[in-house]
Amino acid sequence: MGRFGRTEVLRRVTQLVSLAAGNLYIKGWADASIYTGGSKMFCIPGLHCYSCPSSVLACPMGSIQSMVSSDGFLGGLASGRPDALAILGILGFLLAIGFIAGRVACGWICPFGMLQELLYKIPSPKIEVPASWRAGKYLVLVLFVFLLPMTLRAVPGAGGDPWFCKVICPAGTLEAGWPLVMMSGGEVFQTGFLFTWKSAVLILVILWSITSKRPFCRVLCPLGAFWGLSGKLSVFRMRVDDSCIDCSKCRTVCPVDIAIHLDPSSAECIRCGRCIGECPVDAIHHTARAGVETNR
Amino acid sequence: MKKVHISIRIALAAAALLMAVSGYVFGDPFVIWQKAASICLECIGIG
Repeated sequence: MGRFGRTEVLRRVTQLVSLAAGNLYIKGWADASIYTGGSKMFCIPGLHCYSCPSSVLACPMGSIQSMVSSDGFLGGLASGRPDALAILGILGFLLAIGFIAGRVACGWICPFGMLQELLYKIPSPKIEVPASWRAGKYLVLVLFVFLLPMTLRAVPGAGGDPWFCKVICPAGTLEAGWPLVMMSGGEVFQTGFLFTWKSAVLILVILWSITSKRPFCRVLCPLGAFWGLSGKLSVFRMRVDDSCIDCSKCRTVCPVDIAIHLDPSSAECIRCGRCIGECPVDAIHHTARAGVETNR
Repeated sequence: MKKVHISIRIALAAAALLMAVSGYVFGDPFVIWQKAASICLECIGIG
């Protein structure tokens, strides 16, 4: 097995072990309940719904939205109210990952990213995602994770809604919505337009993932946007040597379709390492050295 | 970003870790648990 193959096996094993570690409450699948233990104070480094029956950790995006949407959040943060200050724990955790290794969790841990990679293996016509669409995830992060939950109120003085979870997140529909509604047999949860809308979003993302490389991660994921921005300043990053022959094999194997040889510090890079193993002249490396990532 | 020295990158990572720890020490992580331990109706497309 070559270097490329070894990295891929290791990455897949890491993704599966992470998935298993975050889903230890198997009982939830038997009785359509969710885990309520203390580990849910801590977030999983990936997009994984905390209402998934087996999940034992919290979703970082869901947690952030629930906090910023609470009434008087900004005032509470300014005055040091403990319930508002808790957001520093989540933001600090996410920033620490981003500042250490950028979007590494997207490539090595996130279960929804793994699902998209597996779907892309299904034989079908393949379609490139326009590069300009990548900006969409920054809009989703700012608008649906922060601005709308903070500002939009159905009733003045009441809390807001987690808009990303409510109208976009396909992981929530797949891991929690569909299983819980199906297990309850429609008796507990009365579905309506919103459920239909979210199901349609999930089906579209699944179909899109068959034809394009990790489209949700590249176009819509607010967690990817967060880590992409902080990853520009990460300790561990990519380096491309002068020995690069511009063959673009790195782009062919890249799960997010970037030309790492042209932009080693790309905010899109998920640090999966596939390009390192595929490079015919061994020009691509991980590095933590000073000022060498854009030496071409 | 090539001009950003490695020491600044390490300092940023350390500051973020400190922020995470202080969030859990001085904040109330019960609010995270409170949301994560109840079924999120918005997440499943009901609420």
